[in-house]
Amino acid sequence: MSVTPANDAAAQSRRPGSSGWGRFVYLPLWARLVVLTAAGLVSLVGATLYLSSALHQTADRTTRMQELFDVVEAAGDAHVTFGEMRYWLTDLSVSQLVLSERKAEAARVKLDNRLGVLEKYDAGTVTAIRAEIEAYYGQAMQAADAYTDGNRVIGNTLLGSARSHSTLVDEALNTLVQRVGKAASEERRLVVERADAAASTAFYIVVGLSVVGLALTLLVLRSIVQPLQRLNEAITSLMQGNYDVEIPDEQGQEFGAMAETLRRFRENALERHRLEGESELQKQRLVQAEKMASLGQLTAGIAHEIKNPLNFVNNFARLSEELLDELAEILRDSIAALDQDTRADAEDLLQTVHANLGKINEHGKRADSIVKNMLLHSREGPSESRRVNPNDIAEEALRLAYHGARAEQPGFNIEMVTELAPEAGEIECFPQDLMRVLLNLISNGMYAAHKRAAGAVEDFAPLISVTTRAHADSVEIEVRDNGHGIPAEVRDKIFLPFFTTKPAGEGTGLGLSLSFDIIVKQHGGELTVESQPDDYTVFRVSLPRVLATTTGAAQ
Amino acid sequence: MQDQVRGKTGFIGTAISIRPGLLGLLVIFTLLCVGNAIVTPATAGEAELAIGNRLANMLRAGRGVVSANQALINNPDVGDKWFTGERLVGETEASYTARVGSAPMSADLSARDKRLIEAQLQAMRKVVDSHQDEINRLGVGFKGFIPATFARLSNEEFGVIAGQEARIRVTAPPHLVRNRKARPDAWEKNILETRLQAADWPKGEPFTETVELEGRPAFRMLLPEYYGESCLACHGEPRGEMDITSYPKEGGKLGELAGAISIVIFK
Repeated sequence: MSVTPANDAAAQSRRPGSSGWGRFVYLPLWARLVVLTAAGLVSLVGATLYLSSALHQTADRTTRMQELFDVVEAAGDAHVTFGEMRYWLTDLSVSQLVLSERKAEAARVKLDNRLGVLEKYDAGTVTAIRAEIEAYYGQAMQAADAYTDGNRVIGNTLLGSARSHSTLVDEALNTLVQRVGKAASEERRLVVERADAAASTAFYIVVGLSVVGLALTLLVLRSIVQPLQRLNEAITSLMQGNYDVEIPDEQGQEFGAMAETLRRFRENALERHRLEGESELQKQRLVQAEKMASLGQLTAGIAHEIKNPLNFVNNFARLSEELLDELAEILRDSIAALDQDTRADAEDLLQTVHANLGKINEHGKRADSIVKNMLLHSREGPSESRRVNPNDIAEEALRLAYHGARAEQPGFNIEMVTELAPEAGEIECFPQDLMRVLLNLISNGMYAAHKRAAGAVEDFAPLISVTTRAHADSVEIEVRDNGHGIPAEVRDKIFLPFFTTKPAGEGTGLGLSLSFDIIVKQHGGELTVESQPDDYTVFRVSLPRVLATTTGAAQ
Repeated sequence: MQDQVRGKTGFIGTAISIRPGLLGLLVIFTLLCVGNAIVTPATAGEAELAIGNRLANMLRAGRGVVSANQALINNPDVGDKWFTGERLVGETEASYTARVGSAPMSADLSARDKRLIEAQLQAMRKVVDSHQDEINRLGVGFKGFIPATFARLSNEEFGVIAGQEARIRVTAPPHLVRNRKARPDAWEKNILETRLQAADWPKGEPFTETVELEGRPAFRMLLPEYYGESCLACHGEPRGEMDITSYPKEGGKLGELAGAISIVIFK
């Protein structure tokens, strides 16, 4: 009816318990999808953050590189501008043109500005260069002034002195340009290297995330598809009528519910199947009961028809006996008058007829008893129902049966045990009919136990026990003997009318059949038998405390 | 035009040797272009004013002669041009007489004035004579011997001869000065900016003042000169365009103040 314990145990052992996957499959579908989506989003955000950070770093590096290139440009500019300045200062010395002076001054301002940019890179060098430029410019201007004033010799001297400064500046700027250029190239190499590294890392991240994402998706799909498949197989099997199929023990909200539903469905189907079987059995019982009923009616009809002629036979036999006695009285003198031989014949004849008539009467009575039982079987003339104590009836029946047996067989002896429930209370029943049933059952038991004792080689104590048990709605009366028991092959037939295992003339074969009818049909109770061959036989009568009104009246 | 182009080529070829002089000359040439002002004697320092005007007019006359002979000087095809110091002095005196109405040298002049006029004439003669090689050079068109250069060289020579008594130079507001030698001194710069360049300064009116110079009392005189038509070829518009000497033009307009003749007469 329910999932077998073995199944449960298997399910338990298969359940991964506290492992991650186990917990995962307990999640409802939406939660699994949320986990999947969240994992995707988290990886996306993580990857984006990493890439943005890498790009940021690259951008920082690029900015630094750009700054360096600005410095490179400024250094180059400074070098070129210094050349311009030098040209115009030289030109000024030759031409004394104000224009040259202005251009030299403009170049100086520009150079100063460019040096300002370089200062951030190497303040020390720039300061030194500035000092040299200052010296050069001052002396060159002094030279120009000397030339302007016509002092060529002084001008030449001053210009020569200025030249040494300008050479120093030129060399310093040249060195600076090369140094800065090298640094910028190195920085650019680094930037390219890092950008390459970031790009390949990003590539591996994307590949890795794709693989993980794919795996996760497959896992989630598996966690959905596999249970569905198992459930589907179970459903298909159930639909094909295979109720023994194992319902998969699925985890998680949805599949767990589906499996549970499926389990209930199977329980219902099994229950229906069982009920159908039971119904079939009841139908067969009903048919049997019907058969018994019609047999009973038939028997009653026959008995009724036989009863009158049998009465005639019995009455006339008895009457004929009396008439024969009267005739013998009348003929006593006449017979006495006869000769010896004739008188002997006559007396012998009279006695034989008398004996015959006695036998007719005896067997007629026996036939009458059979017919009476047959009529009882047909329930003609129902008695009244009363509330009685079943213990009283059981005790009385035991006592009567014992005396009956003693009367029939003077040497009869048996151990009797009663175990009567004091709380049995009262039940509503037809006492005479119930008494008849119990007498029947107890007599049969005594007969069986006694029979076994008679044939027993060893020491055997025949035993009969009567037990009553009280239940809330019913009372159970049990009659147990330790006879030979009922062989299995005849157990089905014992309640059939005219079935008996007693020697011919000892049983009518109606006792159990009648008892069955009284208990089951008249009282709405149950009569069951349990027997172990060569050990015991138990008949159990179960009676409802209250009669179903329709039952007794109808029968 | 053809002459000028070829002359320019020639000039570049000899740039190193003649350049300083050439550019100096340009300044003087500029000032030559200015129209002659009628100089009126001032009440104070009348004698100084008179000799100042005379020296200034003489300088203008000399420049005018060089200008008038510029085509000859720039002719690359003529070798010996006979443009001598003697010829220049003669033509200058004639020009002066024609312009002022009297000869530069007259008997009524004071001894100092005579010395100064004589010194000026001598300086001019010497400048032209000492540049005969350049002036007569064949195959070179524009030789840089222009009125302005002539004027500067003459003034410098005048200074050598009579520097203790008087000085003559041509100057201009700083932004118009091309040769450093023509840069105004502090007094000149001040007068140029506050007086001669002032909007209400009477056109052509000289400024005079007696100040101390090099520890000596000196009569100083500043005569404004204005752009004439011929000046603007090199000093006019568009501003920044290169002139024949590859110097950017100043963007001057006709009649604008172009510079000043500065005269010092030591007392």
